[in-house]
Amino acid sequence: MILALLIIVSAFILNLFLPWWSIALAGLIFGFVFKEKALTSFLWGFTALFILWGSQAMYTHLANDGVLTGRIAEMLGVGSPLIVVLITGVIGGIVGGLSTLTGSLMNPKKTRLLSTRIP
Amino acid sequence: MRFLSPFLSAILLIACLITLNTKFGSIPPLGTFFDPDAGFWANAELDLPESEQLHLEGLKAEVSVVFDERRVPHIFAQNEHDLFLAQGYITAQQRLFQMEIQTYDAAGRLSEIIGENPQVQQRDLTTRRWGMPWAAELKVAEVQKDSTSWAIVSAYSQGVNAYINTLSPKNYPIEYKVLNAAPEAWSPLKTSLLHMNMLRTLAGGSSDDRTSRTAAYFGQDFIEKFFNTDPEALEAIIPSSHEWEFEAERPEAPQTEFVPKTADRIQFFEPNAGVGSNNWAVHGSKTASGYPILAGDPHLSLSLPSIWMEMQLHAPDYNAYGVTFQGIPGILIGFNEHIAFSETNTGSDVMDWYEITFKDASKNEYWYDNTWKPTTKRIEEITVKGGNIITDTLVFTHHGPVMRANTSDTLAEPVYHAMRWIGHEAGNSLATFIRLNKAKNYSDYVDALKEYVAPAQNFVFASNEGDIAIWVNGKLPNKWDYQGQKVSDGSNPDYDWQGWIPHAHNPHHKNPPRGFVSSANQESTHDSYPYYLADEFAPYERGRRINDLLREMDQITPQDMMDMQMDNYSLHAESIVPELVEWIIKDSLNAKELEFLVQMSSWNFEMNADLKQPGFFYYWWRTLTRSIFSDEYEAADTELRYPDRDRVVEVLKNEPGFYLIDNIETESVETLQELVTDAYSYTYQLMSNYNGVVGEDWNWGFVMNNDINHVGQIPGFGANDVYSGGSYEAINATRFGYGPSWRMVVELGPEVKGWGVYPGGITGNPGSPNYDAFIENWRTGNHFELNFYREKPDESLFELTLQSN
Repeated sequence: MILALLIIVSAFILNLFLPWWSIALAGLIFGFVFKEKALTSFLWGFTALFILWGSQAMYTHLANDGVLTGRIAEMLGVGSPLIVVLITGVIGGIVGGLSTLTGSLMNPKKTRLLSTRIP
Repeated sequence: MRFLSPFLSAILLIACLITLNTKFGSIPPLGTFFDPDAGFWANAELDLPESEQLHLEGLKAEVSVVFDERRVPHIFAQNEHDLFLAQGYITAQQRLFQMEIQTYDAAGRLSEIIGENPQVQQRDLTTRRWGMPWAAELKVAEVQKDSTSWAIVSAYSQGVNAYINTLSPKNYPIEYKVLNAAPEAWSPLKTSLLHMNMLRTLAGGSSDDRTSRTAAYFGQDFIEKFFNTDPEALEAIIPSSHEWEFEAERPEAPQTEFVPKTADRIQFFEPNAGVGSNNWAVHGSKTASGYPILAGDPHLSLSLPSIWMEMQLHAPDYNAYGVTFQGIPGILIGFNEHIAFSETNTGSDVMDWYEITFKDASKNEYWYDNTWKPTTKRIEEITVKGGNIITDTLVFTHHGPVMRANTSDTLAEPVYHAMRWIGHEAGNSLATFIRLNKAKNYSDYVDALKEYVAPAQNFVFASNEGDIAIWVNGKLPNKWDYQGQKVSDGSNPDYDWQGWIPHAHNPHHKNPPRGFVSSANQESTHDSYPYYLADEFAPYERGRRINDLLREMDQITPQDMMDMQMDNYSLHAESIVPELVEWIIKDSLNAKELEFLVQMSSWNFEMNADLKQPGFFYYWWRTLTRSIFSDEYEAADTELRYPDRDRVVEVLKNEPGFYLIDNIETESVETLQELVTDAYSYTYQLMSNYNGVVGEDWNWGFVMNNDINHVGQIPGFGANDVYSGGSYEAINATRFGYGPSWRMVVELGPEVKGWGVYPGGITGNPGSPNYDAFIENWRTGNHFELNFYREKPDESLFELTLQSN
């Protein structure tokens, strides 16, 4: 949970100033620091960036009254503007999952630096 | 979980990031594209732009840009340099991608941004072979000679670049993100390239090769009958009552007619069938206010963003409102406090093809006037995105660039043709529009027109002084009769363009007794005009309809003119549908077909969206003409020239036994009645197959399939199925994605008032609701009243203040 929150916040800040792939840095760093099991790392990382990119996309979609998402949906031939929001979330999620997983696997130590649960 | 080594996982992550950061074919890099901060999401407009102050390099004084309630920019500058600099800046801010894609197209550089694509490459090559970039360079050199014009295009260019320099990839227009491309610096050359694009669209048609083949196949009688005879109902732009008060000096025609070796498929762009326009002006004696009213609606391929953008340009001694063409300084169709002007295209023949004989394969010399004359060459390089470079050597004769006939591969020797085109003529046509923007009266207008070269336009004019006028304007080659109708002899000087019609002899009239002037791309003059212009103009119907209506009108108001621009009446239908209905063999029809025939015979010839007859008529007529001509035309095994519909109608009515009516593929002799009946049943079947039983789906508004596509053909960025009435031959020329790209009505007087609408918006950003905001008003004919300010207004939707150092 904390892992996901930290990834969301740091990826959000990184993405404001750096190219989009900088969100992977957030996953790498906190994946390393938390050193969860592989599947857990992937899922938290995926969830975090799915939520971040998905909600940013959803906010824009709503604030823009769907004008642009409607056009992009037609361009991509995906039927619904919500699918455009979903795709955005999934792309973020995949990058988040893979980077967090990689981070955790790269940590050679057996012990965690931080726990995902509040003690 | 051994296989989950950190190494493997890292490889997977890197592969994923690289994949999402790479463009595959036409798919943009997905990570970059979907990035909610800097991807396409950044182009979603969440709020109205805010008023702001910006520093703009190169300004001499402060400039205010006021955006009115429809977001039309009104530029208030303190000198003309700043005015055009700001125009460049604002145009780029609203329409950068549109400006750029059109110049890439005109320069034969589309492959640079689109990448490997055989069709795009062929288009680029043809563009280069037409000498488009070459001629654009000639034109820039010409503009450079005139310090005033050069200052204008330079300031405009500076403004465009100032805007481009403010951009980072995050706020690139969305199309750049889709194409994974970046904007390029602007220059006066690009303005010239846009001018070349207009030339290609408006003056880039030629039927020389098809006419030659048609003459070879059917004989000269056919040419006389269909192409050299005007329909009786024609009313030329300058009426037959007009007397020409000059003597013409004409070149002499050669003694014998040249017969080309082959005229098969010289490399042409398909002539743009959607181009056409209306304009007219009525004299104060016919209006309610006592002042002239001017109306204009240019017909082009409709696109989003709209080809036009509304704008007001204001500086000391300069106050013009109208529409701009993105990348070209000034207002192209509009009005000021004194005059109004609008253009339609002139169909004069300004592109001719000459058969060329080279001395040898080096193409260094060609045969002309009994001697070998040297050619010049130019190397064109196309850098395809991805690195591939294509080179092509252009060969020039004194006529122009040379192309090789496509089918000459099968001949013993390849056959070459040189192109003589007004588009290659140096000149500074853009200065005309700036001068029109500032014109105060008739003589200013004529002075502005004098230096104009091409594309030739019918410039309609009205002024506060009460004058109305029209000039068929542009540099027109002085030809012998029918010179350049067919492929010409490139070795014989008699076939050259041997001079120009003096400007004072260009067809024109001012304040004619009938109280109005008008044009709709029909023939410029009747046969009494002592020069030859062309054999191919728009059919008479639109022009005739405008004149018929204006003749009957009195106490005209601006609203009458706006209503008239929405007129859907088809003179074409009026001229043939009663006969078609009469010719039908009713015994051959089934009950349903007979039932619909009742509707056809009671039709009022309005091409309205809600009627079922217009769509039926459209396909019925097409089917009939195909059944008359296609047996002979297809047997020819080459592309022949089709006659215009207005002349076909006349021939069918006058000679119902005309020999082409018989189907040469059958043993029996078909009658016109049989063809009309078969075409009727076929059309009924066709309409039923596509649109079901007779009902709402048969409505013309659906059948005409009116799609307004994106300028870069990106799906989703256009507007599909804009339900509308109209037709080729109606004043409201809307159909199949073509039609009135701007409708304007201006009432002159102490306080000039304008109304207008086009199918688009101001911003070119598909992520803004303003992008297509005017389409509904355009569709329903509800023109907006235009905010023509005398001075900077206090209120606005938002305002941009551009500051100098």
